[in-house]
Amino acid sequence: MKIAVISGKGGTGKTYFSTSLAMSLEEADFFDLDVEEPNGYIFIKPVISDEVQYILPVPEIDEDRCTFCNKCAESCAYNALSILPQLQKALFFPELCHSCGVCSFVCPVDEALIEVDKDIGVIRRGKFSRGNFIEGKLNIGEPSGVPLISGIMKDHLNTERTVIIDSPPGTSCPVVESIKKADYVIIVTEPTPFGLSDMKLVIEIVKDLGKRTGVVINKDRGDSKDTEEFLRKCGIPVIFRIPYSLEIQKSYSKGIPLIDTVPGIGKKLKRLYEDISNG
Amino acid sequence: MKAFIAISEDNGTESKIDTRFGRGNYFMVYDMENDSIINVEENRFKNEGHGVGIKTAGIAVEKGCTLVIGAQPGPKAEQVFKEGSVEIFVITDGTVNDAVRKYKEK
Repeated sequence: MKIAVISGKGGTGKTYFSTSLAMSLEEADFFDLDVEEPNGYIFIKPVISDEVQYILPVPEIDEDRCTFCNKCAESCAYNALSILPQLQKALFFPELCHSCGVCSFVCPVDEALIEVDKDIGVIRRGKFSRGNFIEGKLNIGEPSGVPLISGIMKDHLNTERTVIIDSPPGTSCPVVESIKKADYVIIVTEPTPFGLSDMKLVIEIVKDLGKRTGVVINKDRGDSKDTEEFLRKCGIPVIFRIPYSLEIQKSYSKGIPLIDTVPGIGKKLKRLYEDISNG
Repeated sequence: MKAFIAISEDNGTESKIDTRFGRGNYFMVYDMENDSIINVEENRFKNEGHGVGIKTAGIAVEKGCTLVIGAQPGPKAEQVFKEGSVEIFVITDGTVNDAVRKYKEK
């Protein structure tokens, strides 16, 4: 079973919830795919065993060999290349490049356009008390976490194992990439107008992808009527609640996971997982 | 000197300057010495997802323009203009006539 935890709005408690969900199980792998700022390790406390750079191919043009025929720029779906024949110049804009390779494929001149390595981030692997830990961390300034996320999912996902995925916030491509292979998507929300508004947006994504889903209400003070009413209309269940409490906040700020803060919550999380698994 | 001007409508020298450079509706190439329009064409890249400014800037350089008048081009388009030693004169409203006059008065 692969469960991805998303939120729409940032700061609703994806990581706080997903780490304890993983720790409540006897065996589970934890994937931190919030690659812009992975912080699941704070609660999971893994032992990291290896760290590898994540490399993508990008074009490099040799202006001495280039005939400035413009085929590469014409073929580029992302306009990442600009060929200026009058100036005998070839400009490359790495932030637009998607590493699709079409430029090197269409270039008719030997060695004029070659692919070189570009380091976009790092993948850290290790172990924690319940299984494998893996996280991606995007280099600062990189425009998109999608290649790193899809690379991790392609190379490291063991389909035999239970995997809890901590997804990025928002509603854009990295979120979609991180939930593509999930069997179930948990949406963590908070009962604020922002939490509700962004939850509505992620629900649309989850629906479009045809995923089973349920909502966790964090910071619940019994004033979550708007959220609950909306969910009732959508037919999406509230599957868990984390109460709004100073105790939890204090503990959270020290990096102590939910499971070690609220007595008995581990069992509830485990039961939640079983309910999800049993459909 | 040829100037490249992104305009929002095709109405000769009374055309309004477009508020966006790369995604302007039309491109005008204007002869600054003779105060005449060389040509106007529709922006066929307007609705592309990414790097429209780069494409537009490439066209300006290809057409031999050494001056761009209009909305502030983005940083990537600016890079193309820098390579081509193209001068950028930013003006965000008014017509082609107004913009050309302001450039000459500067």
